[in-house]
Amino acid sequence: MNENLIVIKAQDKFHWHDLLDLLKYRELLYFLTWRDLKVRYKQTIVGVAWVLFQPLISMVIFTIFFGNFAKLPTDGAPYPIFVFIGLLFWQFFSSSLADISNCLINNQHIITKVYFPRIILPLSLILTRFVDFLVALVILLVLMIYYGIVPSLTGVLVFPFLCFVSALASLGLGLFFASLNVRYRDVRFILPFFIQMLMFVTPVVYSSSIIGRHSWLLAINPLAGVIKTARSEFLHSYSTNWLQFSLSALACVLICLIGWWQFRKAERYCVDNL
Amino acid sequence: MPDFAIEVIKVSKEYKISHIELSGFYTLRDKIGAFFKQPLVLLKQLRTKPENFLALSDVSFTIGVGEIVAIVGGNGAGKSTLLKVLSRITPPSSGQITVVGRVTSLLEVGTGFHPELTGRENILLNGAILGKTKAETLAKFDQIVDFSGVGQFIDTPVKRYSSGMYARLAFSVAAHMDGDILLIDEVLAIGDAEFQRMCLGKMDQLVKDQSKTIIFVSHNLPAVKSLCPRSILLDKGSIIDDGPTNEVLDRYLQRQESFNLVNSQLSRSLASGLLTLDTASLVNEAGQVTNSFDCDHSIFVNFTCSTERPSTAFYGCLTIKTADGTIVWESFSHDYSANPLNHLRSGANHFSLQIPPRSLAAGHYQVYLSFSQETSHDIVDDVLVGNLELTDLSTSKGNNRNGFFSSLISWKNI
Repeated sequence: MNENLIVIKAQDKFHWHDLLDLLKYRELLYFLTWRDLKVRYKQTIVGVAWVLFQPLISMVIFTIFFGNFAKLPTDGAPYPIFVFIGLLFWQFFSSSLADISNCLINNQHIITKVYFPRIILPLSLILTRFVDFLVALVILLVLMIYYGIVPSLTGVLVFPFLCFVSALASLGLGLFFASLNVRYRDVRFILPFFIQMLMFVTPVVYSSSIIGRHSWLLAINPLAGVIKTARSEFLHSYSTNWLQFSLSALACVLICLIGWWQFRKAERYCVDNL
Repeated sequence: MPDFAIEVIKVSKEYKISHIELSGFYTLRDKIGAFFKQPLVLLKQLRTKPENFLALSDVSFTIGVGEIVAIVGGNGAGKSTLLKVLSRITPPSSGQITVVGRVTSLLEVGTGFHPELTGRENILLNGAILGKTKAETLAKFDQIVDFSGVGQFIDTPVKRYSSGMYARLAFSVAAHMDGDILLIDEVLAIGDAEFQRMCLGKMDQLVKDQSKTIIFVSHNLPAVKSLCPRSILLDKGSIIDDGPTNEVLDRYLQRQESFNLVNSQLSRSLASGLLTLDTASLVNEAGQVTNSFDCDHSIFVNFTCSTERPSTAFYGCLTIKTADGTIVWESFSHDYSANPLNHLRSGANHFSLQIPPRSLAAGHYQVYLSFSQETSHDIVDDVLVGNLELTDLSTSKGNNRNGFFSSLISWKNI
């Protein structure tokens, strides 16, 4: 089949061809990521340092209030590093989710004028946030050295997988919201509220062990599994519940498939609604 | 390998004017609110079929490799929708399109330009958005910069560019993004006259490069005429004409004339109410009202205008245009110092303007009259007197003479 032959039809079934298409546009993925990184901190005083400030300031505030005053149990780990692991993944997840949910709306001036595989937009947003994540990771390293904590080997090995699962979670939910967002503009306003609620049911500032024997319920929340596993492998405060983590990962894949399926429907017709 | 570039088979595009928007339930909140407030109303609305609007209906055509085709039609004829469907921005509701070759769609110049990025960065980004690899864009980079003329400002953020520079750079990137098939929409509609000339020149260059297939949507009929040998005329979403551009455009402009004004009663008055144009017609030397003339006889434009009381300071203008709006000739009542419209009697005033033989070349023209008044600048704007069909019967070149004049000169050997 000629690679330049395109058939445009009303019904569009998934075709392996689409993946090839994605490959053709991989440079666009790179350029969009690069553009977002480049533009985001232009005309700000401290520039890229914002990437460090955000988790750092959150960590300090949380440590003062939840660590010092509320004295939340951390299963033996120092509170700053305990909360920072949570924040690291949480901010990666929540900022990606917020960006992706608005990706079709925010880029409507492009998508109403040019064709490209729309999935490039959310992917580039995740990549952008992942770069932030990597920068913030430096703080974690500094904290680990300061507290003299050495992660387990499995921890280091499983770390990329943890990032991947968080990315999948934000992608899945984000794609779902992005497709809703095209039809109902109030998704934009619900979203920040929703993300805040989500933070309370995710063990970011507290340890999942405070819920006691019902803590397995948290496994449905994909990010809970990620943060729990990261903490157990990095801080050795308890042994990892791999079954729970697998459930979380599975939930992620499921969310992602649903989101993607929704997004595929939306991406074709969103231009008519925008 | 198919021998066409684009094949469109029975393509329709339907837009739903959905009940949600009609009833104002734009948001999820409204919808949920409505569910509690007026559950019956909502149920009824869900049952009623949404109204559909056919932006394209059963459109079929084939475009060969290397063909340059214009898509013309009035506002809302479906031109832009067709282009969006062809460039895969929105899917058709039914039908099938087969495209062979790499498509570059230029529905807008400067798509994805970011004000914070420099000219250089925007060129690369824009190239990527239009589906080009970095290597491909870089290969054209110098040409793009040269053509845009932004030169030394290439590393300045484009937000500091003048709007002219911005437009030139944007167009320059677009014009150098060649694929096998170019879909171009109204790109020429922006910018000043100089910029438009530049764009047309570049288009011309692209057209002459025979290997490309180009689909061009534009309101600029002279440009369409000079660039595209073939035109497709859309009206209300259907193709109503397809053929050589000259013929299609002539028929299109004839259709546009909603009324035939030969001999019709005109009753347009100046806003001030001082002057009324009562009748206007084209008359031949025998005194008959007609719209076909030949070059060897005079054409008279007769009109009657009336005022309620003797008035002064009116000016008249006779304009002859070609079908696409190019002004061929203008004549003013005050071309000489004594302006006959300057002293109108109360009641009807009759005028007869003679266009001498052998002034205009054979062809189709439109004759317009307009009036203004010095004090108020009120204008009776371009009232169509009639369509003028001129034939040249006596010269050997006859109707095949190009240009706008038919004046004859003698070729003397001295």
